[in-house]
Amino acid sequence: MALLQISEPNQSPAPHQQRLSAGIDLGTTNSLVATVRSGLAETLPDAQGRHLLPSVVHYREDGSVSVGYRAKSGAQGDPLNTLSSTKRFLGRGVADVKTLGTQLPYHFVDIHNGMPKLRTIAGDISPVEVSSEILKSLAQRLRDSLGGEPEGVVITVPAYFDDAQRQATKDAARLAGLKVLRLLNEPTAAAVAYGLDQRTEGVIAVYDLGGGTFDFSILRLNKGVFEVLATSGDSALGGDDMDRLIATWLMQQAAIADDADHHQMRRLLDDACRIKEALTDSETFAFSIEKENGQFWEGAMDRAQLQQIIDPLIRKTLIPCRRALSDAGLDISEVEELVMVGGSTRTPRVRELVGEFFQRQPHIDIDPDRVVAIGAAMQADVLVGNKQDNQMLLLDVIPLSLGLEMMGGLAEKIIPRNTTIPAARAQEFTTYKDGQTAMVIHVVQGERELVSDCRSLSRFELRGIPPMAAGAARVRVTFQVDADGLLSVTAHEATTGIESSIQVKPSYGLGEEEVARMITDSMAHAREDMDARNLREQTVEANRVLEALQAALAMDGEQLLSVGERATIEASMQRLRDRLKGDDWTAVKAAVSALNHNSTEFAARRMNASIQIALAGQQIDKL
Amino acid sequence: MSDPLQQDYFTLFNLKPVYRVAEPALKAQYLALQQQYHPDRAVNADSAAQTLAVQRTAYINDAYQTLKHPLKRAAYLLEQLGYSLQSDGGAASRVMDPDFLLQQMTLHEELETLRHADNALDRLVVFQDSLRRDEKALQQELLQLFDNGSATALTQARERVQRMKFLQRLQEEILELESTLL
Repeated sequence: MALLQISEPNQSPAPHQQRLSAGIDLGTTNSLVATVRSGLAETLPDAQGRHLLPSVVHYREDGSVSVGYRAKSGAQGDPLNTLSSTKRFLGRGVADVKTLGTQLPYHFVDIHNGMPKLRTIAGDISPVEVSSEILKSLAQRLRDSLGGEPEGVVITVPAYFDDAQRQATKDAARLAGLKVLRLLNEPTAAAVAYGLDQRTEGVIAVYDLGGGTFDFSILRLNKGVFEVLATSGDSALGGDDMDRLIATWLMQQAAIADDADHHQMRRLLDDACRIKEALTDSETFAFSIEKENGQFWEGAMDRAQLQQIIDPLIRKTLIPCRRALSDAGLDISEVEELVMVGGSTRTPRVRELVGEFFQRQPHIDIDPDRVVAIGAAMQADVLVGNKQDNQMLLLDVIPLSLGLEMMGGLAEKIIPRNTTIPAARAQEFTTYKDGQTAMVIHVVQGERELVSDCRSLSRFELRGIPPMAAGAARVRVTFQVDADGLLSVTAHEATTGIESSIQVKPSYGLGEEEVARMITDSMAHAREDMDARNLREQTVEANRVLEALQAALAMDGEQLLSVGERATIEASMQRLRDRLKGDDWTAVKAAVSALNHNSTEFAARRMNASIQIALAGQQIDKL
Repeated sequence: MSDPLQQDYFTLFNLKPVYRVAEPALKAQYLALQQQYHPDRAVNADSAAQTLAVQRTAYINDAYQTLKHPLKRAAYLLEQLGYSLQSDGGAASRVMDPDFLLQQMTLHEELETLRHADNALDRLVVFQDSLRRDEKALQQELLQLFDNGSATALTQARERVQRMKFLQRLQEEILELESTLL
């Protein structure tokens, strides 16, 4: 519905009720939800007053789940059915998981299409499903707190997430029944929260070290515009890795065998995390560790020992920092503020080494756990249209180059990394053999020269090229990246006009059918629940559309529509009102899309008219 | 005002089709266009309007990058004025200029030597600086040729752009080499 967006603030028909929206930080170790109320963004606590929701899901035999603290407390007793840190596997392939998960206490199952699943007592569960359980839990907290259905949410993702990982995040939200307004990069969200709060202008760097991912972004802040200059990172590096290194050290010290069982592994990781956190505040920490034979091993660690273990990991994060500076064409001295985000930046040694590198004190006066969710909530509030006169604008970039496979297995970059999104680029290719009638378009993402070193996103075929001499056909391949950082690709043969297009669905993600099946499955589980929620959602949407159209008709109906056109729209509105009296959400949904369809032309005309007005207004200002 | 997608980059940015561009004005118009057309302003719109918003802002982004970058701007302006780099004239002038050919070969050789040198990193920096000076000189020449605007001057400008493109590619190769050495 374009109608709402184009009504100028001074012309808006009636003061709207605040639209409900939220920002969700779907983290590796912890997740949060935040919303804007009376102009203030705040994270929402659960019934016990806790804001963080541990990103842990426990599966039981009957298929029921528990999420968060309850799941976490059961992790040691039932490690195989308690899934944590699964964000690390989101949108990843079996091969990636094997390199990532050598010490993880899970059973991975190799599924035929290359997507890994985790074997639990309730069946094989994909990382997308685990994420959707976490999202459902946060959505429930949101509903309880708002007393209504949100119109949409902004979900944050690590800036360094590739296309497959972003797509998987969006699938998880769909599975949880949430409308995603936008996927927002975590450091950008942090910059929004920080920048608006401190009214900062100029160049800031955001160093975001979370549980499982590392992001670094450089932004220029200027009058509500947040322009990302460059971003870099490592989507498989975080506090979890520190824990694993510490756990390995513990195993050596306590003489625990390498093939420790799942229970032992889980206990060790928890111990490692406890030790790391304790050394945040104190210089030394004494502890005892339960071994597999039930005996306890007494040990101690001081900060110097901890540093020796984690320093290499922290130094590893400085390489992407350097790259982003170089990509942005900036010198370290040009960075005016350094903002630290993510739970792992609580570790004093991280602050120390990073501060040293940037030659300045990092800002730690913001809560590194909550700032991302808060920034996302602010963006969501703007996107649903609660601040019509707001000039806030986020200009983000793609983190990794997008390209195509050429002859010889080389990757040809079409859109280089750090290009501002949305972006579109086209390039022409030709056939290499006489009489070649088909061409394989293999889309890859990454910086390396060889296709085999890049991530394969998608492969599709353009068929029906008329037989010609080698080099005569002209195939134009267009890449388009939307504001969520998601890619779609079209290929077009110029001499015949044969077209083939694809919305890139990552090879490692879930196919469209699979998501549809999961949604059906979960509906079968809780059919009535789903129906009720769908009806609620559709009613909200229907009323919004009706209200907006009513106002638009009153304002511009006379000028922009013929009598017949107006009658069609009004009949379509009446049909929707009739459907709303029943309780069949699919009928409401169908009526909404029919109405949307019938009013598209009207929306387009209004948009053109308003642009003319806006531009005319601008020119008068300049005079 | 018509759709951004229907306008050439200069018109879109309220600029005369000339080479000299005032950066602040360019940036201000860029932000104004983004404010107007960005997909964030259309999240509640139907999918057709959202697709249009993506296409328009992608075009605006590309236009901005082109106009901001001296070399891309020069190439685009020449194209608009009918002096396309891809036309035969461009290729021919490149082939015909023995000076330029020789320079290309010499510089490539120099880079190859550096690749295997002992103090490669330090010498790369020196090499880079000298390339940057060459680029700056070409940039100055371009300004004057575009100001002149005669057919002869624009043909020369096209040749300077070819040279600059070559220098740019060389700079990229150096960066790649540097990253392998670091």
